[in-house]
Amino acid sequence: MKTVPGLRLERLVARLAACPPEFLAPPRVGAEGVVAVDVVVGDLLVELGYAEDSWPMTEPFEPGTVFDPDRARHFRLVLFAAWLLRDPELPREAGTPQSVARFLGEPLRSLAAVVEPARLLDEPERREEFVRHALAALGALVEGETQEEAENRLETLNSASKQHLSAVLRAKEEAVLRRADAVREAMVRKDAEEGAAKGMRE
Amino acid sequence: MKERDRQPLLDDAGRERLEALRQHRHAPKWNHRAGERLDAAALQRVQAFGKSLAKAPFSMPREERNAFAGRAVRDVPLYRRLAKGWHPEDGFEALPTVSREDLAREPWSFVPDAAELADLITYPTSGTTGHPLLVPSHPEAVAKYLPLMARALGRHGVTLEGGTARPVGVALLGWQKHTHSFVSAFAQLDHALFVKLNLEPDDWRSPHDPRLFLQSIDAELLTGDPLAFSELLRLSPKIQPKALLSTAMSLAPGLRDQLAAQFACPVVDVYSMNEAGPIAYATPTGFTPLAPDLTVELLQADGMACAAGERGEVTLTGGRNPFLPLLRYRTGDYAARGVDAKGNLVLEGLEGREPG
Repeated sequence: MKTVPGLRLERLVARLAACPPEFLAPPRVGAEGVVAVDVVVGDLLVELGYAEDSWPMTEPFEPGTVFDPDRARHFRLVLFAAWLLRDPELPREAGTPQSVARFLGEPLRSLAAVVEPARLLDEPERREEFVRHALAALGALVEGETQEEAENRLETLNSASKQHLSAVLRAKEEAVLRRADAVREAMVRKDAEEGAAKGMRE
Repeated sequence: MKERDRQPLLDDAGRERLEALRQHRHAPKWNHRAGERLDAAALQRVQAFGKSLAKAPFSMPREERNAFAGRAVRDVPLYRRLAKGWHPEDGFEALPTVSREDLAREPWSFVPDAAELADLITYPTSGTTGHPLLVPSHPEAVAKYLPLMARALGRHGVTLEGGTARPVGVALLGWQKHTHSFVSAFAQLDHALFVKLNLEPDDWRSPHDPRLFLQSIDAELLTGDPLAFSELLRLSPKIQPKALLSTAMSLAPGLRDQLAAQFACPVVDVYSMNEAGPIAYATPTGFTPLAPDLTVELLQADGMACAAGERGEVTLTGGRNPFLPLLRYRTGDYAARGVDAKGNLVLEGLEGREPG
């Protein structure tokens, strides 16, 4: 990893917090959402200096035909990253667009599985974690920090995310159980009432 | 439940006709009350569904099916659990199947997360495999039976007129030890009256009443299972229905021909179940799918699709019940895979149907 002179973590974290509405709108997945993520990624790669047709690298970000909630979560992080990575102080060396395209793929898909997109921008530590993931993908170090310090800090933030995920999953499981109880009670209650008149027997 | 909740759209004249039928001197011992439970907006949606059938396909198009599957895996607790790790790109055929046993065990897990429970109704059914089920449903899903029944009748050249031209529009006949009998009305048939009758003698005041009542109401359409229609043959009322629509059990060709000759009208056999509503109607070669929002598959035990001529389990995806979206639902019924002249699926030798 290489130190980028003048690059400050706080400024990048603040930039992420100021993500503008066009990058906050729901990404298009299947028939839902509004932002064409493949177009956003294509623009970003061109801006970062990728001169060739960016289609092969943007293809994974096409909306597809079917809505998939995991994909939508991933794409929301891709939009946040597209805003962050437009920062003019981030490195624009040979190979940067390829590194960025890789980062937008599997690493962000994995991150989306453990971080709620809405929470990511609200909480300073989650924003810092996101920025650090982006810097690691680019092989960039902020000024005044060693590679070991950067890696240790990212590891600490990752652990917190995983603990948060456990809490989120527990809450989700409880919500599922509550809903099952509500449906079960409704079915018992309605069984005692009348159905609707049906014109034929089954 | 109040009468106006059962029949929100029935006017005073309709209520008078309904009450007159309740008081009919040859009427059965009514033992139940039920209605369509449709308000004006719901009726419009049901009628729009009916109109759409004029040009709709006879099974759910592949793209719609795939979109439906994606939503079901996202929104329905059971499918989300069973299809964990499935991605739309894996393809529809990679989805797991579910069965009546799953529905019997945890019907609540079939209800989508966001489905509003206020309109939930339930139908108990035992089904072919003997697993007692409590099927969650919705008045609009039930109301959409009529347009699909009309579609099956239309294939035999029969059009229902409804209205008040006849005393009763539709009569559903049963011949069971115990079942509900009631009188109601169908707003979507221009408020034609609907009666559910049990031909079992104990349900009537006089042994002559079933025949006399049937003659008096002169229903435009009679629906029922083959047992009830056998009893109808024995009673031999002098009636002129436009059609008989048989459901719930296999209709033997001999009985079908006898009924057609006795009542001088088409006898239409429809394959239907509480979980899905009307599925297919009989043609000379087998049962042809009927609903544009339902996909019918024939699957082997290992989940592989049956080849032409091979027998497999009837498996359903789709439907119009907001409380029970079906995703590769194994019905417990079996048929061989046939094709019609256009290459569409036909269910040959359909077996397993028992009254629900």
